[in-house]
Amino acid sequence: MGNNFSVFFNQIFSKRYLQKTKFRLGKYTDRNKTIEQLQFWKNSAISFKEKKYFEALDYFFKYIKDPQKENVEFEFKDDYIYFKIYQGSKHITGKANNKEIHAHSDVVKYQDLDENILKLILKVNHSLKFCKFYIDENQKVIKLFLELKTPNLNPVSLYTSLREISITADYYDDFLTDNFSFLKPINNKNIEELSEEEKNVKLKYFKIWTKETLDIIEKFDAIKNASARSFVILSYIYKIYYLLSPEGWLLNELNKMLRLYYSSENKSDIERNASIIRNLEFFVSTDDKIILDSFYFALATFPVAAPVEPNVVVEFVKNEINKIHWYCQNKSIDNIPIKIAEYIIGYCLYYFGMYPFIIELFDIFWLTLQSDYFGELNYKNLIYEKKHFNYTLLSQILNKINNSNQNTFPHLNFSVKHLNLDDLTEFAISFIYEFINCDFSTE
Amino acid sequence: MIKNKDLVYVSSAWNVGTGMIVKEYDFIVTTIQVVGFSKKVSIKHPKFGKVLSDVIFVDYSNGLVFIRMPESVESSIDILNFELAVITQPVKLYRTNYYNKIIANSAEIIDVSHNYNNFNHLRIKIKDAKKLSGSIILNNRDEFVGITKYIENEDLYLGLPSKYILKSMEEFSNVGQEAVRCPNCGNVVKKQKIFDYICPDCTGQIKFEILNDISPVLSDVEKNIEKSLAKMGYDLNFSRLGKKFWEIKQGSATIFIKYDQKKNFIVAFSRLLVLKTENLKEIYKYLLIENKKLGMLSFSIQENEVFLSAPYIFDDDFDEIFAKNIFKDLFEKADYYDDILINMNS
Repeated sequence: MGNNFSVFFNQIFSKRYLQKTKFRLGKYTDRNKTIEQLQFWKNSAISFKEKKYFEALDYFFKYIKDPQKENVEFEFKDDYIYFKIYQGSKHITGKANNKEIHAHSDVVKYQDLDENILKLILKVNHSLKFCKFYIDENQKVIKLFLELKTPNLNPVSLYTSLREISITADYYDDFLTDNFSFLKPINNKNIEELSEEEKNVKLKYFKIWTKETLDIIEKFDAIKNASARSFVILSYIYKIYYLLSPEGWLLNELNKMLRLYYSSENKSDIERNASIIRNLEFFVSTDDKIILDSFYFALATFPVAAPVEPNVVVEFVKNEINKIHWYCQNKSIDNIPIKIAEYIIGYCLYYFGMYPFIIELFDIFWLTLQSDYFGELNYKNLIYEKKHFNYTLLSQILNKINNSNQNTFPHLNFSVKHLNLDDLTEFAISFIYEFINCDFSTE
Repeated sequence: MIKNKDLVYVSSAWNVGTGMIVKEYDFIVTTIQVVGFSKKVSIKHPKFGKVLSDVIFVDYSNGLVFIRMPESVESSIDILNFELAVITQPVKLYRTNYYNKIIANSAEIIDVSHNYNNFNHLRIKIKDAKKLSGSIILNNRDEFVGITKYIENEDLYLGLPSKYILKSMEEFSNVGQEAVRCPNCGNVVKKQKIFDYICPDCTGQIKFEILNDISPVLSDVEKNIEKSLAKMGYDLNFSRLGKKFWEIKQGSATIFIKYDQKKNFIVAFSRLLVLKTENLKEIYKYLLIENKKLGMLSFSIQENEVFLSAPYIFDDDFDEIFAKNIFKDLFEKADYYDDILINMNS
């Protein structure tokens, strides 16, 4: 457990470069806690050790509450702390006292239930560590429930169990309503609309990237170039996920495609590609409104990706980088190196809960490669414009990242000098090599 | 050909593994890597189920152990095969699992005279399978070559040769009572004749742990699990499945407790039922409605089995009182629900 504590305390306090400009990329990460919040966390752990459980709970909820947003509500009443946690389209309500903590979330409403849905949620129960699904026959609602003993729930355990119920509720409301027509959404209104302008830019680029992906795939032989096709598909999925940050239907579709890709163990690359390409073709004919409705902002309290240390990210990138090398030497397959680079960065942003400065570095990667998209979102400080790299700006941003993280990573030096600015492909490849060559040691 | 009835699943506070029953011998052959320094271990066999039995012979130097047979079993392993066996490649390793199902794996003998503790062992190489102790080694004519012993801290997978096992069986049978092989003179001596840890034959010293029942050193979490089980009246010798695994019998239900020290948590669960193949809607619905009433416990399914589980408990949060409360609840509810579910499933 010591490691988990250190993950929480070893936070970096810098604000993400693009976040400052109100750009919302990817999913919520909670690694941007303020100094005050981190102190709340420490206090919670101290109070818990001293068996002052109410105090520990109070500090805990102060820690998970974003000072800028209403993602968590809590109040003391009748010897209980009552709380409400917002996570995506769902919220979790609960109460806690010195003895117990209860939390629940209404996931979906049903008119009827068939054997398949019942079996599915019982199977999901087997993978849940702390919470569980049950059905409330009176209200006709599938619910998630958590009950734990407060004295046996230190802040890390409390965080882990509340994260599980929150993320599960948010994931399964869309998943269940999309897959079972007799299930209806319930209590999922915690959303903030984006401007029409932003939604339309996102729709435009959704269409551009979908068409571009299908065009590239078409150039490749389905059998001979199956793995090249896979990289194009994966880079597309991760790019849409991170840059367009969809929720609801589109997010669920992307997750479905990833499940199709990674869990079809008995299928070949060719078969998996074919299934996912059918999804992409379906996207082309999907009504604009359905896609536009997926572009909104939802409050969140817990990150979906579990926190990892930089060495985990570097190891993954190192293992994947060899694939770029092979394709670089086999020039017959155009576009692929840049797609693999996008896939590598996109994968990390999807699966790893990374330190803010690494996300910030990866944002620079996207900002450069997809400058048209950011330009249309009225982003001003473009690093790559009219086929020209802004060396000075790039250098300034990288220096700032290096300098502001010296306290924790004293040897960090992501150098602009090692980046090849001949073209976007060279930039993407050199960017990844520079990342794995960085020294992330803390001493 | 090895049959189910020829093998027993052996579990002790130290480890789990396989034991072999040999025709016309009333003891089980296994290794010290399975039983450790326990003098009472549990054995599980298709005929008599799970029972406690005594370790009646220990050959500490070479790791051979015999356990008393609780009742006679007709074995198909014939002693006549023991001396005939020649080593062919590959060999087959046979072991039994907790459910008394035989599992066979191919392996290679890469050295027939690997010196370990001044004794020539077989050295085994196995791919894609667990290295477990007490497994039976057969050649391609199904002749008995030896039994396996896995020296975990050296990652050394060895086999005790059949000839040595046969010799020990005969020597032990001649003595006829609880005995040990003296590590100094190599004689098999009756335990009764040993006083003050001195061998009656050679007057050499016999180590304390060879003659006494010793438990492994437990972590605080393991101690708390065992304390809570003992206070609830469960026999620890019967419950232990190695160092970090326990099995509890409560009425008609069986509950398992596992401590995953690497991931820092404790899990406790019971497999209540194997589901029939169709018309399961009512049983599924029942499980999900009942889930509301179960407090911390949860019904789930995996493959075609119904589970009742406690939430994961982080080791930092674990104490004896909590363990006792949550285990008691799980044991009682597992026993309560298994009958109801069996009726619903029939």
